[in-house]
Amino acid sequence: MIRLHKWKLLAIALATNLTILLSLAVGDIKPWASIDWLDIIGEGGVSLLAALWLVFTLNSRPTGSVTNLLSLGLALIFVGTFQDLMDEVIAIEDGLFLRGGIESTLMPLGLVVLTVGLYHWHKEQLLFTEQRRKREQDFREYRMQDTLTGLGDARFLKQQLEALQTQCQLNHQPLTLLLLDLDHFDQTNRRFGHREGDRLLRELGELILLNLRRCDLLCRYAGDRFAVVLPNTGELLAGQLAEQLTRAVEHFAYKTNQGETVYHSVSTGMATGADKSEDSAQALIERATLRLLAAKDLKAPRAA
Amino acid sequence: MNLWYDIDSPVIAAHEFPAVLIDLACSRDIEPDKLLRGTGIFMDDFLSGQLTIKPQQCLALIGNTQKWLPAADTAFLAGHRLYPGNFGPAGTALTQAPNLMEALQALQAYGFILTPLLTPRLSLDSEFAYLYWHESCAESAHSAFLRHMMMTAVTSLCRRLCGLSLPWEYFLPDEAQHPEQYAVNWGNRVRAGRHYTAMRLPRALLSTNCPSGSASMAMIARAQCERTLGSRPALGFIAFIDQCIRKRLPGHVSLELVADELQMSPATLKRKLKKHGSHFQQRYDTVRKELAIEWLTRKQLDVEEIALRLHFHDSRNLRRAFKRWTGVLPSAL
Repeated sequence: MIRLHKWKLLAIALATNLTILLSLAVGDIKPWASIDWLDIIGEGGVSLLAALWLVFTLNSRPTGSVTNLLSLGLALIFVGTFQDLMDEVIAIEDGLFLRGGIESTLMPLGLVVLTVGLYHWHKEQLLFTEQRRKREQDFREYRMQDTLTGLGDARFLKQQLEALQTQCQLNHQPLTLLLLDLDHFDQTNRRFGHREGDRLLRELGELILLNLRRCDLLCRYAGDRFAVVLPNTGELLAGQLAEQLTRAVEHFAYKTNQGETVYHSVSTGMATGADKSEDSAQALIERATLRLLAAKDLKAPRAA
Repeated sequence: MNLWYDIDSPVIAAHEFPAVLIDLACSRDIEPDKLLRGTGIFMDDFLSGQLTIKPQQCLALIGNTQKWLPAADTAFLAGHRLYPGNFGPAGTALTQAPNLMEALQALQAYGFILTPLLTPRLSLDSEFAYLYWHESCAESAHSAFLRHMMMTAVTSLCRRLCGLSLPWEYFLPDEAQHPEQYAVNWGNRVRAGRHYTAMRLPRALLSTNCPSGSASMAMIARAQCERTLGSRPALGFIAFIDQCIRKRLPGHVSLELVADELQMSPATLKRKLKKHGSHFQQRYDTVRKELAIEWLTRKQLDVEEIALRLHFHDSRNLRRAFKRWTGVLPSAL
């Protein structure tokens, strides 16, 4: 944060210092008896919260015009409330601009700038939401996100699957859950190291996203297994989509850090919840898992 | 010669078992000093390859790993990466085993190197080979993590040695915490809520050849182990006490008798057990619970017989104790 936003932080520190110095120059420190502690706590609290918002904002954002607007707005609010706090400690004669003047100009100004900033942030967010549509559809919960791929995890899948099932049942549409499992992922990990394995999963996530429709939802189930929820999709269409994804992965020429090319294949398993069926999300996942294991067994027989 | 190691004896070589956790965290871009904070381990000492740490430091490291990598798959990833690792001759005895049986025997024999915090016990009957997992040094908050990690490590190792997936069946003491992780890493034969930790395989599969193994290399590695590790304590304190009790049953068992066997006073034994977060009655009950379940499910002994062997006054008392231990009656198993 300090590296990216050092000029902003410096300017805010300077402005704060300036208000302290100016207040001291024109007024005198109040005696203990005439200080209203309730006001100090109230106004100090507002000032502290404004500072906290500023820290969160700066800490979570790269530089750019939206960040500038947001931080300017918050900084104005912070300096305004801070001057208000100074008022409580330093007695300033009535009639001077510093007595209440700074606060009543900076606060509204800050709120206006912040509003403009929020408007642009909203525009920016719409852009990102569209980009993330196939990862989260209408629901975002960062605590259910897989840290490696940025996709939703198994809990997210279950929750969204339930929601989409209800929606599809209302509209009398079928819904299909498709599971994709990478073949011989453990060998890739062993040959090229786990770092490469991690990167492969990340890139594979992107690749699958590119091949999905706008209404589909991709999650990382666990390990090398991905789950795709296909709303309004019957078995026939889902089969075609599965085929497309399988071919996409097979043609994906993954490049390791040493520049070696590695090809992979996937096994798929799907389960369709037909219209009006009473399947739970868990039952759908279990059915798809069984089909997936059967498909895996066909490719690489297990020890019986 | 010490027969066991305490929770605060420095016996775990940091470049063996703990290395996989440090390595995993580093590969996920966790700062080493964050990861090692509060463990008393320093990166430079670790890299020197000379550092030995205490089991409690290793548990603290697991705690930190979970703190910085809170995702459900951390234990499973660590398990996949554990073997072959850098375990010296013990690791060679494991990975060069010519068949599955010898690999699992090496795992049991050199458990104090290969899996110092969770002790494996191999038990065969006519149908199945069971690999039970027992607490080694302490009942810790990380036992679920260790369970997931070690069972994944063995699964992954065996698949690698044999070149194909084996139909392991898994038994977990608690409810399924991460069903999706089990499904992907272990397959669909996971039985939760069974009150013990074990994995089993049809016994016939133990003779499966390991194509990359070498009988002579494994034999040499075992001889090396005997030479260099012969004087090392082979079990954690809790596992050792449990083993004493298990061996004594169905004979008489008491705190005094076990203390006598360990050549210490009952007061010292009590104090030592307390240091490991346990007490004698708890150990005695744990072993009796495990044996009762084992005899009920594998030997089909009747409750009367088991009550007699485990020193219960009658079968009604056993049923009551069993209900207390597991929450269900023996007939429900």
